[in-house]
Amino acid sequence: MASIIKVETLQDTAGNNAVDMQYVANGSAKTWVSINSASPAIRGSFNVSSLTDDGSATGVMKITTTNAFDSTDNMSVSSGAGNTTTGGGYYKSAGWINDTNNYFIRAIWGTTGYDIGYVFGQVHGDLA
Amino acid sequence: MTGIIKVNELQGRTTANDITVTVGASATQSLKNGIAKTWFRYDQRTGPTIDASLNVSTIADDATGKYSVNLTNAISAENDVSLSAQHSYEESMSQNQSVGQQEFGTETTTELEGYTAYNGSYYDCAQIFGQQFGDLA
Repeated sequence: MASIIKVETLQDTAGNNAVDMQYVANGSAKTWVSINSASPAIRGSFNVSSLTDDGSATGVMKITTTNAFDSTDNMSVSSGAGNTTTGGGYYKSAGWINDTNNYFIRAIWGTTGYDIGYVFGQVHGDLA
Repeated sequence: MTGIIKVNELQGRTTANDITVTVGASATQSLKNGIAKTWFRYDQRTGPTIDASLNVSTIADDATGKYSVNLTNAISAENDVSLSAQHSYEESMSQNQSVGQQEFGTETTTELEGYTAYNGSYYDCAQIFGQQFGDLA
């Protein structure tokens, strides 16, 4: 039988570092991914079911989550790009929401999208 | 009555790092998978200075617009991390509109490497932020 503790606040024994469970639940990323957009392939992930090369423009990668979010308005996407072993350090990244099960990430140099070794994405918000 | 648990360490009953939390109306997920393991705010223009951080031992100023974040606790594998980073050149709006590129990646399991640049040139920036998700070793 699974053991469940229902509690509102966690705190260390000295009475410091208290955190309400709402911050544990709301502050945790609900999905994250590391991909090689040149392959494309998933390097590592959490709550990700698939990766699709979107094809709408170079570098646009579509991430599909296993568990859906409750609302697109309740999603916050962050992203990163890195190609430090071969790149010049000039890449930036973009991330945006498609629907409650899908979001996009893209590596960009200047105003042009690229397929590179490392593109990252994370989404915070509530799951359905 | 407010429920408070005072404890110095949480461990899963069956597996130490496997604790489930409810994160939606009924959806659940692993506690360890969702929380950031590393984050920092770094000022490379002044100092340079680590303004605030978690799981960061030092940040090295490698060169103009280049920095290395040395982790206190190593990540489990370079492929099993997801990074994000943002930066602004200075606190005022005017210069922030012209500095817009940042690259952030893993150098080793104990070092993250970042760049801040614009239009082919590196710049030291006053507010550099980074986050890392994924398993620690």
